[in-house]
Amino acid sequence: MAETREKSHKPKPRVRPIVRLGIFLVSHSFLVSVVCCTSGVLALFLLPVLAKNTYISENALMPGSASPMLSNQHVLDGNRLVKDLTNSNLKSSETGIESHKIIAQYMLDLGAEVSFHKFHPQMNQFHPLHFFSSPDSGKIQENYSCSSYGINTVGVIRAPRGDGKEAIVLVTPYNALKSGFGEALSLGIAYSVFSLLTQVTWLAKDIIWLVADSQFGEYAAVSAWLREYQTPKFSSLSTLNSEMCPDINNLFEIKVHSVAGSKFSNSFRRAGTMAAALVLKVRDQGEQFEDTISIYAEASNGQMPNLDLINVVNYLAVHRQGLRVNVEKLRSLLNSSWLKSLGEIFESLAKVAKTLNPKCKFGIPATEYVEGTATLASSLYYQALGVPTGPHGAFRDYQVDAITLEISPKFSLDKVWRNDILLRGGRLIEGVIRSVNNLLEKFHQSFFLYLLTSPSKFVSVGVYMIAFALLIAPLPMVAASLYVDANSSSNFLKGDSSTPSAVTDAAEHGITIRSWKWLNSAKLVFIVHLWGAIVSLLPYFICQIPDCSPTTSFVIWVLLSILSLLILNSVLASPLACVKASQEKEWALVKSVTISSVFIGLGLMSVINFATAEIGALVMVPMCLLAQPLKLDVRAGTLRSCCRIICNLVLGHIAFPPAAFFLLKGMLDGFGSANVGDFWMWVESLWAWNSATYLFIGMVQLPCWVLCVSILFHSC
Amino acid sequence: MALLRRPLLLLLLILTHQFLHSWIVFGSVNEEGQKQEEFFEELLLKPLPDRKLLTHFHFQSSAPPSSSNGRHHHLFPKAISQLVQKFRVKEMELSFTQGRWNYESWGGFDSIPSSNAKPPGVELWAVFDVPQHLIDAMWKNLTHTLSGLFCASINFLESSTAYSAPEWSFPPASGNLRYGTLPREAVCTENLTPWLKLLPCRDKAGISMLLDRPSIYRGFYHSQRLHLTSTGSGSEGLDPGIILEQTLTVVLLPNSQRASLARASEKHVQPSWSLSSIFGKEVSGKCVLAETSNVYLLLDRGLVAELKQLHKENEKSAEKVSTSENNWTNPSFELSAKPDRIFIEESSLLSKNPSILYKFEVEKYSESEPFDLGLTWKIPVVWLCQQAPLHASRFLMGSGNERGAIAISLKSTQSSEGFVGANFDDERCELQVDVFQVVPWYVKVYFHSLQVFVDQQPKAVSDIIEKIHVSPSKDKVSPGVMELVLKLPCSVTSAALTIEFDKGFLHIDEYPPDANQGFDIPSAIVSFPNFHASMVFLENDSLNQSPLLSKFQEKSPVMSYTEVLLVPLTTPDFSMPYNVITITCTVFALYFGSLLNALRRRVAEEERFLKDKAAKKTGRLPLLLSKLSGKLRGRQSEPPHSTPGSSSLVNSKLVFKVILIAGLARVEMYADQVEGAGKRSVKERLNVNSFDNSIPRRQVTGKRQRQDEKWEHDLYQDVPQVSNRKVDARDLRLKLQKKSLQQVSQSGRGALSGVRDLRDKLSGTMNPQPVNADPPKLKSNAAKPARRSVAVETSEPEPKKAATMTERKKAQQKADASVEGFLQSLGLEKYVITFQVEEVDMTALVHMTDDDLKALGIPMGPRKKIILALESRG
Repeated sequence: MAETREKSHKPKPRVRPIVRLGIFLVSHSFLVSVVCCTSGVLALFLLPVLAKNTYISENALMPGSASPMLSNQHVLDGNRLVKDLTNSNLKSSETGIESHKIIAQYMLDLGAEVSFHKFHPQMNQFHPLHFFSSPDSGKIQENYSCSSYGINTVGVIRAPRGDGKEAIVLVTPYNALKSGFGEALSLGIAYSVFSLLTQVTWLAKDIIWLVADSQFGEYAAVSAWLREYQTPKFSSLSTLNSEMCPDINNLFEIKVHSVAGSKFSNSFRRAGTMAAALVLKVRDQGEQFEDTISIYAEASNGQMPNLDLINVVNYLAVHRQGLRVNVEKLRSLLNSSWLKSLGEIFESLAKVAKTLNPKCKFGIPATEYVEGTATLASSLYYQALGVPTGPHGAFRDYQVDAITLEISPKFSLDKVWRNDILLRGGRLIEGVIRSVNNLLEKFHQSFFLYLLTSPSKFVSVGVYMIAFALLIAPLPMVAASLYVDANSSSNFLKGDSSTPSAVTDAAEHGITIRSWKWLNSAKLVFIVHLWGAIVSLLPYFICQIPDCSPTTSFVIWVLLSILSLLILNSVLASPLACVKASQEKEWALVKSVTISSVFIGLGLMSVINFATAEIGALVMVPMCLLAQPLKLDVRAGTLRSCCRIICNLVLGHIAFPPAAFFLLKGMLDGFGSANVGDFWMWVESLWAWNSATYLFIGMVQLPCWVLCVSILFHSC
Repeated sequence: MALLRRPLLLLLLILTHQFLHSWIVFGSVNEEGQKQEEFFEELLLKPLPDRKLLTHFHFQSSAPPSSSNGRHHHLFPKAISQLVQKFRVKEMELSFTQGRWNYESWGGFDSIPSSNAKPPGVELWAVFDVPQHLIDAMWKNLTHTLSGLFCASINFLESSTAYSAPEWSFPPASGNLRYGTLPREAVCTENLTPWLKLLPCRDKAGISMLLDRPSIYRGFYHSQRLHLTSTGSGSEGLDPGIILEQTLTVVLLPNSQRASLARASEKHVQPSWSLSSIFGKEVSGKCVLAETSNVYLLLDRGLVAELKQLHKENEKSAEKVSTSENNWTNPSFELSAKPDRIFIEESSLLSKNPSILYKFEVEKYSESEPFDLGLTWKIPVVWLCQQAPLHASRFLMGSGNERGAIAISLKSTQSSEGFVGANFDDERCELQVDVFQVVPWYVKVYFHSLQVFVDQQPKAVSDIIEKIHVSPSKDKVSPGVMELVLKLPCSVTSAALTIEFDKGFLHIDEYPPDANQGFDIPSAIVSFPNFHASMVFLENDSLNQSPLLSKFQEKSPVMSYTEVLLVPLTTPDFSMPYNVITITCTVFALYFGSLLNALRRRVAEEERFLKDKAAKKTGRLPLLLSKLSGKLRGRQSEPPHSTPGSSSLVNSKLVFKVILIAGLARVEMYADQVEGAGKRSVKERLNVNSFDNSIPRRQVTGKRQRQDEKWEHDLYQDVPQVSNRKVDARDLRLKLQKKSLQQVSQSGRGALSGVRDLRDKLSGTMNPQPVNADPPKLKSNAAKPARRSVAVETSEPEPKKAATMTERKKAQQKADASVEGFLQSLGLEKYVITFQVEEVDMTALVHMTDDDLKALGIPMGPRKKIILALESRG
């Protein structure tokens, strides 16, 4: 304000209101950033309150409009399969092939088309440039042994009068070598539904039942099958290999003595375009008070299936089958007292609002708030991680909506409860399949971008964007104000006298130099980001080193990173030294450019994976905004600067990715088990799943942290 | 006598009727000798390996070539013959299909699947006997006609993006062929009914009685087909002979209680069936118009071989099964009716096991003894149907909305080995496969990306493909067509063709209503020209009678259709237009709002108001406010007593604005002059009738209005005093108007009179038209704003009515009127009522203060205006 008044003496050209507003905001950037950041965090905590109830958006789904047809007869069929499988398990130790045969035989008896799909589990590989490309058909490795084969059993029911253009997939992971009872039960449920579906007349889409061999992991089996389904290789050596393995060939000598017309073939069976996929699992031990069903929906890079699919499952499970539906939540948050008190504050606020205006009802009970927050936090966490939470993630890579359903029964699975679970689980699956079968178009009506706060509540993108936008809004303003400050203050320094007259003289002289001074700091920022890219590429080379434990890999990585930083520093004109030499106030410019680069990075990331950007913003925005050379604060010695020093130090530790990881891990699992190699493992898993979070950490967060630390230790 | 005569008459009547009937039916026989219209009806039943039953209805009507134009048809459907004549159709086939033909279990080699297994939806092809440039026009007309005839959306095949012209790969190869499919067409009874209407007996008699709609549509597959061939006699004036072949192929599951049967021990036993159990109906005699009416039961080669095998094992009496005449009750199954004849296939070189055909003549049965064929299996039988040499399947590869690939995979079937023998002698045994694929334009196929794999090894395209013809698609004009001839080695086990494509973008109005479902790629046709599906039966002489059996003997190439594919394309957000509309409307509203504001503004008054304010001492608060607003506008806050320089700037701006607004107002005034004159509000008219001297006025811009007011004041003072009101009043006013409007042009007279006429009609008065009475006077007043002259004229009838009113009342009303005029001059006519209710006249108004007006309920703005105006008056 003071400046404007000063300049008001001169005749000034009229400025547009929007520009004036911008200038106003920039000049008050401190206040603005404090207000924006706090409101951003507050808005994040308000999300559970603002969550809306889910509703089924697509009319064609009509969940629960037809009464379930799954009868006790089908349940008995399912039970028979479960018994046979468990018996065969007891009978012989080497049962892998045997149980596949049993499943195939059962499918054949129903008149389905059956085929086996052999696959090699694909090693997770780091493809530096494959983060956003569609999955390819994979590499063929020739030196596979017979033991490394997985066998998926696939049964297909053709819709009697359908045109075969679309299909619904039902997946049950099953490990033939050491299967728990839960896995057998999930097969039983799937079989009872399958046997019903061979008889019904309403089927419009083909049904594929995939028994995924989970001995190499559930995801690997499903993704191998999907790869063969979507991008088959016509020239392959795998068949030659398979002929050398007697076990596999043994498999195909299945007796086709059953119902004529049921088809068994060696070739890969296909149906049409996949409309939706359901992965069904049953947990072995039940520790719940009720029969619950957990829904896992997060796929790679925070992609979610259409909300309608979750809605249908939720509706049918709750309103038709009386199952409790559960989505993942962070258990540690459930008992936190501060969250509870926050919930109570919101509740009382809502009460006050209600007394003022009886129509307004936005409050939710404190307990519900705590649960909602825990669910929201886990929803954010899993989306941010970018690693799929189950085999359904493989489907999402091919734009197929899929979810994993995990049924956890109440008590141990004795005979009576088993039938009950078979019936209810089967009816739920039947209902969902029937709904999807009704669908004329693919899922497109409901949301794809949402966060769940409970199985029946969601926050849509329009609401949760606000919190993020508020968080990153101050960044450009602060960057601008820093830039202006640095320019004007350097003016004073340059003039060596603080009289305004000297300022005007110096301004004319140094205006050209000053306006290009930021390039220097931009160079520094660019170099650090380049370093970040190098650091994120390093693991690709490190993992080529044979026989390397995670700990040593990690150490190598750290050493190489530091080395590369030093090399870059010296080769590219030692930016830090240059900073010191040229300008005392240079740190402000560096900070300004850092902040703008962080702003760009966060903005880009929010498009790719919103949750990562949100969590990143929570850490990086305060760090960037607060960063100031420690020397200055120490020199000032006021209370305010003391606080700032403390905040800076804390944030400087937390924002370092490995430190953050260990802190989080320690909080969740206890600090005792923490190991240096864990971080390496975690990073390995991130790049194995092609998670964009890895790129974000390597190319945005790490450089930002380095720059902030360099600002903190700036000598001025 | 009467008693006697009546039966006689009856007898005579019956006799003549009979005679007439037979004469009508066999009229053509009598007329033209052997050239006659014929109709055959036949039904073929064939048990399928997967416990299902194939029923194949075959109806054939034929019309011989005839010389006379527009001849009468006795049996042949007139609609079809007209269609053939009009569109010069040489050959045509139309099929409606629901479900998929299961090539693996229902066979793919016989003549039934290769000619009757059709892709789901509608398929139409036609060969025309017209010059090349007319074919497309003929095709388009034909599609429309057929769409009307069969209650289907065949007319969508009219668009050039929907049909193609195969060159040689489609079996009736000919340059004049057009081919189109509608994979998404839903097939229902609405399509069957018109098809049945083409039969002479409809579904009322004969074999077609079996066509029970529910059981047909409950089936796993049904395909209703119409094939017509015109045996064109080239000579002119002679209509071509037409053979119309109607077939209906249905695959049914005989036993409905499948669930209970499936788990019993006899689940491998084929279900027993009878005609009445599958269709719920029986055949009571033949259609009297049919030449022959037969039912056949076909046991195919695989089944016969299996039965032989079983009997060898069981009874060692295999020869009985195949050869003996009376084996219709044999140990493995039992027929409920005795077959009239048994045909055995001429055992060819290839197959040792001939298929067996049982023939039943429906002719012998009647209402009292209906024909109901049943088959009861005694022992379980498992066999396989004969397969085409290669099983073709097609699927999509890739994912995402950008690109993908179509793959056609061919897998050899085990049974094919025996059939390859035809050209086994050659060193280089080759299997020829024709592929015909139509791709809609929005699937942009890159033909160069064609890859061929044989036995899982990539092969050079030129090695395998002998002949290729490609016509690339043109965006929004024509689909892409690919025709291939593949030469595969005989020992091939699997082969695959892949071709990549990009997904195109459609214009928003090209999307169908269910765009999110995806888009169909029609079936590819894979045919094997070296293989012929034919069954030759031994006794040829009797077979000539039956069109179905002669069809069997025809050598037609083995054909199969692949699956229909569904390609998901990118779809726009269809709710977007709504958003755009909303935004546009908002912008318009804002724009027009500001424009109207500008038009309604009274600049002069505002100026005066501001001046007044300036004259008064401004308080602290307004000063602060003006400062703030000045700041917001980005100007230096200038105190109310601004410098003359700045005010002059403002003034020049204001002047410009005033001119602009005045110009706009004038234009607007002229624009609604005509219609505005005609429309007078009810209130105005009421005023006219009740008050003799209240003259309705329109508000015009300030200055002129005030002038008018002045005249009116003069006028009203004069009016009551004149004795001969009617004439004098008018004279006076006209004079006044003349005075003021001398220079105005004289156009618009016609419009004026028209307007007045209308108004007169509305008010219901039948006064003589003043226009006609004194034209010279009106000449002058005609051009000037119509409403003023209207006002003058409307006052004519008033004095009569108002004559009885008292003087006092008039005086008061006069005062009222002046209040009204005053308010109108301010543009505040809507508050007139308020003042009238409170009986405020001009004198009272002059003395009214701000508070008084507030008490009246006048809002702030108008209140200030009134006070200002009063001050300026006073």
